[in-house]
Amino acid sequence: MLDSELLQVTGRGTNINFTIDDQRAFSDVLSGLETYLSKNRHLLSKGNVTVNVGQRILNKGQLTKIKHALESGSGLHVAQFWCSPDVLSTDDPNDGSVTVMDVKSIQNFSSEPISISTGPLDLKTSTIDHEISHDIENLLPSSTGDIELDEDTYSEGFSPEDPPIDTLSDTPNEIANANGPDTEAFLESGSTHLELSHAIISHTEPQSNLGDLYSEPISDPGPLELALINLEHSIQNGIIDDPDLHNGISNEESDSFNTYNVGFPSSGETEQEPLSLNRQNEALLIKTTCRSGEVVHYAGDVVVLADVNPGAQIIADGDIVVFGNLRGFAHAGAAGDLQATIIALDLDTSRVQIGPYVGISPKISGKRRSRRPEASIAYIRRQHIFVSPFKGRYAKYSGGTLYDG
Amino acid sequence: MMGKTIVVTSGKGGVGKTTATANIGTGLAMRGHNVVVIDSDIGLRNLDVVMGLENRIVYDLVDIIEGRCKLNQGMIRDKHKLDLYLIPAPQTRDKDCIDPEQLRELCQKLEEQFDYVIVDCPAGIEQGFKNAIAGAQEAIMVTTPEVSAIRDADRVIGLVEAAELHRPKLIINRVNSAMVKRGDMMDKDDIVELLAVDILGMVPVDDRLITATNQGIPVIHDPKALSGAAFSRIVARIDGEEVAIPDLEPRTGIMDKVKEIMGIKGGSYTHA
Repeated sequence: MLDSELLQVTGRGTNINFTIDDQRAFSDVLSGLETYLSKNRHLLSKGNVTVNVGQRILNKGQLTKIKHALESGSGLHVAQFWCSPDVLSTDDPNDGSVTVMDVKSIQNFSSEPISISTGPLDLKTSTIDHEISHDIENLLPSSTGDIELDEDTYSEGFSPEDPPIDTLSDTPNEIANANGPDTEAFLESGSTHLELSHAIISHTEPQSNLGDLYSEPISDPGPLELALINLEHSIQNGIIDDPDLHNGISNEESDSFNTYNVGFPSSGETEQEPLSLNRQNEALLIKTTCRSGEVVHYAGDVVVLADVNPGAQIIADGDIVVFGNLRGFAHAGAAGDLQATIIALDLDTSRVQIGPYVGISPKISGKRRSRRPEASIAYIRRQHIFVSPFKGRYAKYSGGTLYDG
Repeated sequence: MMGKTIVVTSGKGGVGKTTATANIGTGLAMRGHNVVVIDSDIGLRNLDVVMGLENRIVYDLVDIIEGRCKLNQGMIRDKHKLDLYLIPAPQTRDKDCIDPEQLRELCQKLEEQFDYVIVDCPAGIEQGFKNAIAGAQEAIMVTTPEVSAIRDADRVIGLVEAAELHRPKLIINRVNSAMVKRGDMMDKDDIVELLAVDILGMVPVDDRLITATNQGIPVIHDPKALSGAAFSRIVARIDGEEVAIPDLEPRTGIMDKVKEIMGIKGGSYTHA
């Protein structure tokens, strides 16, 4: 549905990147963009968009056409264009030299110079350079108190010390003059600058009937869908109203943890290198209690034949199995394996992590002694961490929903 | 025959390490052994106060290690004329002034003369702790039945085991059996389940212990104190005897209720 050579969409954190092919004619690009947007209009509500034009030199008219195409009717808001550093030194013979324009002015269609800030040419990455983020901070007034992003919701492009890029909108007066009927609502929202409708969580092919939004989840989400799903997860706190939760899975059977996407590598108190390179084929077998303060890193599966006390950490590339009480922190799939699981005789911990997803147990307070411990397995499903009773891997039962691989 | 060095540690401060050290040292001496206790809490010394010897300090641990005095000059004999000696800590230095090697050498030298060398470890897990465990062959963990103390004890047990002091034993201090019975306090099984170490003994909470400390007499000398009796049992276990751990059950007979109503204070629990 998307000509991926023409236009690539990547995004993580608080911005989406649309990356335009270098070589195709501009009119092709524009029409491709418009086609893509018309197909996916129902997925997009509001958002800030960064356009990466690579090696191509576009003049102001072309840039504004792209911006207009993106913004008309979809509620998106183009905040920035990225291009290769080479562009600035060469001239486009058709359009004369590139003029430098203030980013703010793009919104107002004025004729002041554009500043095209340079960004990384690697089209796949979506992490925002720290330099760029400081550029944004310089250009635009920071608004305070709009978003409370705690550390868990940062993707890897941010460090917690960076001020959150909470809004890229301009001062209220100028916004009111800018195009787009959505910008007013944009300002009022205040709490997040990116509001995605719940329909994004599960949707079907764009041409289908919009009334069927709550049907099966996407089997093969494209980059935009993944990006938008990740965006919502990393911005919104709290359990997302996953409609599948109402279809046959009762909350007592499988609890879903409050899940946050923290990106890679695993964020945490310890410093480490990524584990992915030396995946071990043998599992690590630990026969003694993991005490508070002990950290186990292993590029494979880990089996603990004793307890993991609170304050201990187990970080494994593969699965983690604890034949005892898991009260510490376990991170399975540390290199990115979303199929990894955490199994324990008593999953009594307040926090687990599988891949990039951190789950926080909903039952944090209250009398936990009354809960009868049972063997549980934690796994990822639909970007959530679910915990189910565990009676054997790949077991399929007729009633209830248990982990079935 | 060479003596044994035991370190009394806990991680968390204020759980009763110094009290335990004083009482265990005194108890072992009362059973006829040669004992020296070392206060390694440099800068915050208090073992001398608990034993009532603070007015007799001339030389201290760092003086001995740095060679400014002989070993015999730095040791203070116990007030009650037992075969018990104290090496106090300096109050004007801090814990970085000695390193683990030096304390280990000192402990080895002392083992030639004494049956038991008991080291009172400072709170924390930094240099003071590392110094204290350097010379030890066995470790005694002291904890109270509170979650914060248990958490710290767990961490320290991990560190102690990593330092090759295997199978530390646990003393649970300040056990309030009435609260345990009500379910407001962790009981022995909860603690053992979490910490996974053997119990050396349980010491009940006792007002007489505080009185004794203030007078500078280890409570094991007090025949009426229940905590003193508990320490006696602990000492017997250290010495190799098999002594059962009694259930510290609160008494709830009719006489007790009468006493409560009339306001007569007394031991609120009994033990076998």
